[in-house]
Amino acid sequence: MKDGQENINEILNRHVPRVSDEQADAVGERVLYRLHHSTPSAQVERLFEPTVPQRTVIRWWPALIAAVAGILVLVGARVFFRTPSSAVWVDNTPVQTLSDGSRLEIRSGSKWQLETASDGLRIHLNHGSIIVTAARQRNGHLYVRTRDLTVSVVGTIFMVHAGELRSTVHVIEGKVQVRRSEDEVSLLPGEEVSSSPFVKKRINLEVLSWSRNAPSYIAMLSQTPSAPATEVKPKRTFEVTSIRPNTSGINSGGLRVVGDRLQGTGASLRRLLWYAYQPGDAQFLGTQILNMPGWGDVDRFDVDAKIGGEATSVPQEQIREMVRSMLEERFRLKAHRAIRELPVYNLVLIKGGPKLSADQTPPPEKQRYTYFGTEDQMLPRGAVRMFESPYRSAFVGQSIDIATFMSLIQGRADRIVLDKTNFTGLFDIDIQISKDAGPLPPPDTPIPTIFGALQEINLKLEAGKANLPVLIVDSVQRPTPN
Amino acid sequence: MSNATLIDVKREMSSSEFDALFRAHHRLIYRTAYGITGSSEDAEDILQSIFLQLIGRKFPPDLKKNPRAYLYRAAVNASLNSIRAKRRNVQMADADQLPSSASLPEIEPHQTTRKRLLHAISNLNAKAVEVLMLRYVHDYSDAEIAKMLGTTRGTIAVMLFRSRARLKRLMRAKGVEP
Repeated sequence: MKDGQENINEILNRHVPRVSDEQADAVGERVLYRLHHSTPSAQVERLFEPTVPQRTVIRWWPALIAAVAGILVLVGARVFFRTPSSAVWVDNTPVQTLSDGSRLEIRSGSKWQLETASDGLRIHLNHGSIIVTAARQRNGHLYVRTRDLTVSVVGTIFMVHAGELRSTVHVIEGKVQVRRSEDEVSLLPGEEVSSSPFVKKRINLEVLSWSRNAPSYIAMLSQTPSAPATEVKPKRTFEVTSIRPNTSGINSGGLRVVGDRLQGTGASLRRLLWYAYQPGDAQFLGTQILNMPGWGDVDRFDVDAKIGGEATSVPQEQIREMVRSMLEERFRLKAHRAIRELPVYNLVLIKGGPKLSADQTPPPEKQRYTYFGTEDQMLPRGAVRMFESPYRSAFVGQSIDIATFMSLIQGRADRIVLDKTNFTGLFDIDIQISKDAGPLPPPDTPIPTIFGALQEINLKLEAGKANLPVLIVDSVQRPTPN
Repeated sequence: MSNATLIDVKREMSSSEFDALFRAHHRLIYRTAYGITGSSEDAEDILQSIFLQLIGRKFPPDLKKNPRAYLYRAAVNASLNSIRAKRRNVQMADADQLPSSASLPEIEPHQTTRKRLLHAISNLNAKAVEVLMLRYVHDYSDAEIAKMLGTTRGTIAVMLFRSRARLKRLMRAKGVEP
């Protein structure tokens, strides 16, 4: 493949918009719901589905069915579903109203039954999810049962999910009692509990995304101060913080500790989030921050925060926590972590992999470093010389292991790179990788992209997908003035 | 759309079959539309409109024969139509009301590249977009693309090569050096 083709290949790989399965599924649920509820025919189907073999009836008496449907639409679905509820229902109608006035929103594919109990109604959720808007119970109770939990309510909105391994209950409004064997717990809005472990915690808003009312539920929850399940430690904060819109046009590329201060010039919201929410030692890219507002990559800010004390002795994780507090306070940030399937690159071998170094003795740990500097410096085995110019990165080293090499190329890829080589040998590298230089003129000598450069040493990046940690922004605003 | 028409369609496909068709292919359609338009709202509209059109008429033989390929082509065509229609509307708008380039906010280079890429893609023919989206949005191999579109692997390799070359020329014309 010619160099030009490689470059357009890289642009396509990097810039074609992609979405995860979860996002596509959430949209699919909404659209399917609208398709079922936006046409008269759908109403016909919905009303007759529980009792009438619709296909036969519609085939023979379309005009009659249409007329009856019209009448039923006028009378309303509630009347239809207020028929005696001792019968068992198992169907996929997305919304149903029970005889006591309670309303069920049922996630497609869910398996459930309804039966009358001596003191009210009982829903058996065998599999899937339902959201119950329980009517105020005058004389009885409404129960929802899964394989391992029982939920009893008086009047509230909550969701129950029955999974293969465990069940969970999530409360949106009101109060519910959840029982597991002999244990019982009360849940308030914004709280959830699962059957294992049977411990209250803050609700994960993602679980509501399939509901057509998800935006209003999330809005309700965001206004409700959820009682934390565990004791809250006082958050670490900066002593003084200044955040101003960047007017200089200078972008220093990130945050850095200078003296007793954390400073950044021209930092975007994504950059701040990326700094604040890096999960431990795992690789974390800006693309793993989801649901960003449009301005999050465009607006630039100058940040100057006083850390206090001996800044150099403050662990990096504590500074990150301070930045998180700053974002919550000044940007009104609400965000949560989750796992999502995202595009990745798998590093694989081609043609047997890199040529092995003559000396396969593992170099001492102290020799495994990266040297940034002039090209004539002699380096020991295991060390890598890294040279950066506006349009290329160069790596030179002897007896390098695959882990070291992975750390070098990760910084040049727009996706997380996973090592799928199972390569245990040591190898020499002398490669150059072109940068996405934008307006800069191309060099006289063509420099391969990362894909081409890797092929020179019998390695290849293959597009794939993997479950990765992500940060999902629930809500955020431009920062408040200083 | 009359009730009679809608009910007539139900002879061809039951509700559960319709749901099954939707569930089997909604990801493909939504991802394709998002890959071409770059807009989640537009992609959602396209997903809905494609299935709404299926409700509104008898199902074409091609859909029964190869629903995945049929719906994929529908997604590509609808997405290109959506972008081109929007472009026409913008051109028809009063130029004085459009923001000048001086007043536009600073955009990251990668965003500019994405915009220009999407603009260039919208100027390709539908066949070229079909193969490019299968490769770069859905990560299909040449063989998988060939199977999906009912052609040979060699043809797909040539189409991909030409489509990328055409895309490169279009982006160059827009000032991006691929």
